[in-house]
Order: sequence, then C-alpha cells, then structure tokens
Amino acid sequence: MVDEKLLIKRILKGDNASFSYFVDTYQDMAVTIAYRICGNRQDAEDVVQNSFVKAYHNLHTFKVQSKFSTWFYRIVYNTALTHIGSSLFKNESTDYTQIENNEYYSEWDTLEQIDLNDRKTIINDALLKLPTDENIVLTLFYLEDNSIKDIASIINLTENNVKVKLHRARKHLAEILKPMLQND
Amino acid sequence: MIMDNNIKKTQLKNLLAETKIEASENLKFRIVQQINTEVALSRKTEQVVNSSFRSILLIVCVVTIIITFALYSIYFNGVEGSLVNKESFYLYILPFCSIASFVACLFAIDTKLRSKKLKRGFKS
Repeated sequence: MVDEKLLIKRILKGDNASFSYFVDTYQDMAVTIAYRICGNRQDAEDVVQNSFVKAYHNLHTFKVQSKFSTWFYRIVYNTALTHIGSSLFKNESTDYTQIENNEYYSEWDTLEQIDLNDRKTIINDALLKLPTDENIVLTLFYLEDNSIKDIASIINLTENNVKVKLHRARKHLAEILKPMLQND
Repeated sequence: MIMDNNIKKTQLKNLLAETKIEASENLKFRIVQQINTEVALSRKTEQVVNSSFRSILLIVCVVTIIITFALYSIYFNGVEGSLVNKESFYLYILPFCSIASFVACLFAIDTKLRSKKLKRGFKS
C-alpha cells in the first residue's frame, strides 16, 4: 500500500517523478467523470490533463488529513464544468427521510444474465440518457466507493441532497433500462 | 437484511464498473510533458526576474558611487561650503538622482511586465 502523504511530501520537495503514481492511479476514473460531464472523449482527456497540471501546481494547498482522491476529483469536476460553461447541481430541499438507501430493481438481475459486450452497450446507452448530475453521482458512488460525504465535498452539495440525487438516479436508471431490456 | 442490501449494492456496482473508461496510452505522457515544461519555464522566469533585479541594484550602486564621488570632489576642491549651497545641489546632485530613479523605475516596470507575460504563457 503506497503512502500517498509521503509521496506528496516528496513532490513538494522537488521529486516530480513521484507524481506519476497519482497519474497512473487516478487518470481512468478522472476521464470517466470528465466524460460524463463533457460527453466526448477528447474533451474529457483535455480536462483531465488540465486537472492534473492544476493539482500539481496547487499541491501545496492540499490538506494532508484529507483524501487525495476527493480533492482531485473536485478539481476534475470543476474543470469539466468550466470547460462546458455550466453549473450542474443545485441544492434542493426534499424530505430525504422517505428515501430508502438500497432499493431493489429487477433490471439489475436481468442485466447480469446478458452477454458482457451487450451489457456494456446497454448500460452505456442508459447512462447517456440519464441527466448529467445523476450520472455523476452514480459514477462517484459505485465506481470507487466514495462515501456520501466525499461525494458532497466533490460536487459541493449537502449530504442530504446527494442522497436524494442517488435515489433518483437509481430509480431513473432502472426506468430507462426496463424498455431497453424488454426490446432485447 | 444488511447482507441483502450489500449484495444489491455490489450488483449495481459490478454492472456500472464495466462502464469505467480507460485513459489513452499517451495521456500520461502529455500530462508529465506539460508539467515538466511549465516547471522549466517557471525557473526561467525566476532567473529573468533575478537578473533584472540585479541590473536595478547595479544602477543604484553606480549612481550612489557617482554621487559620493561628486560630493567628495566638491569637498576636496576646497569648496566644502558649496555642499550646503543650493545651486551646487541642484546643479550636480539632483540631476543624477532624477535620472537614476527614472531608469530604475523603467527597469522595474519592464521586469514586472515580462514576468506577467511569461506567467500568462504558462496558463494558456
């Protein structure tokens, strides 16, 4: 297990080669997040490139007690939004106490039985049909097990709002997948 | 119940994990290349700023030496009284100080503009 805090100290002392570790570890997820916002791969990679450069130049502002991934994904998220010239999320006041955390949708079981390549196509198409904000929340929550607190920090929303978005995203995804699976 | 919820979460997680995008092979190269270029250019800016500062310091030292020399030569030429003479002051000292200050200001402005230009070059 690599000690990221130690690597950051080395980079701040001038060991630029250590920064490669962070590029290797986080570039795939960063491209995924940027892709969900920008919608095309070329823009997503440009955003990620700029994000890594910003992260390098602002490494001295990183608080060592925090997680690097949370801090960096926030940079990626903000850079992507600036790139498309938009702000995605707004805080909403909703009664989140009625939301269940782990709703069950039969569509997940059906998907598992489908061939891998077909499954990837179906899920990708479904994700593209989701609103971008719901897409981002699902990506951050499920792809790297970010906590609600971390996601709230990355996208600058309250934890309650993240729970609302996540609940809606799961429900929305299942609704989009249902007709697609029926057609297969 | 908790076990059941974890299975459902894992199920959706596994499905979505297949949509994770892999970065291009040359992305890392581009990132490292850009960082190295910017680091090298920022060192060059520091050198430019330092050398300009040294130039200004040199001018100030030279002017001080000239003024000191002028004062001593006035004194040793037996006209020490003229040190407190207003006409001598305006004739010898003030022009030197004015020109030196003007040149130093020009250098300072030029250095500032050059370093701003270089920094803007990194960010674009």
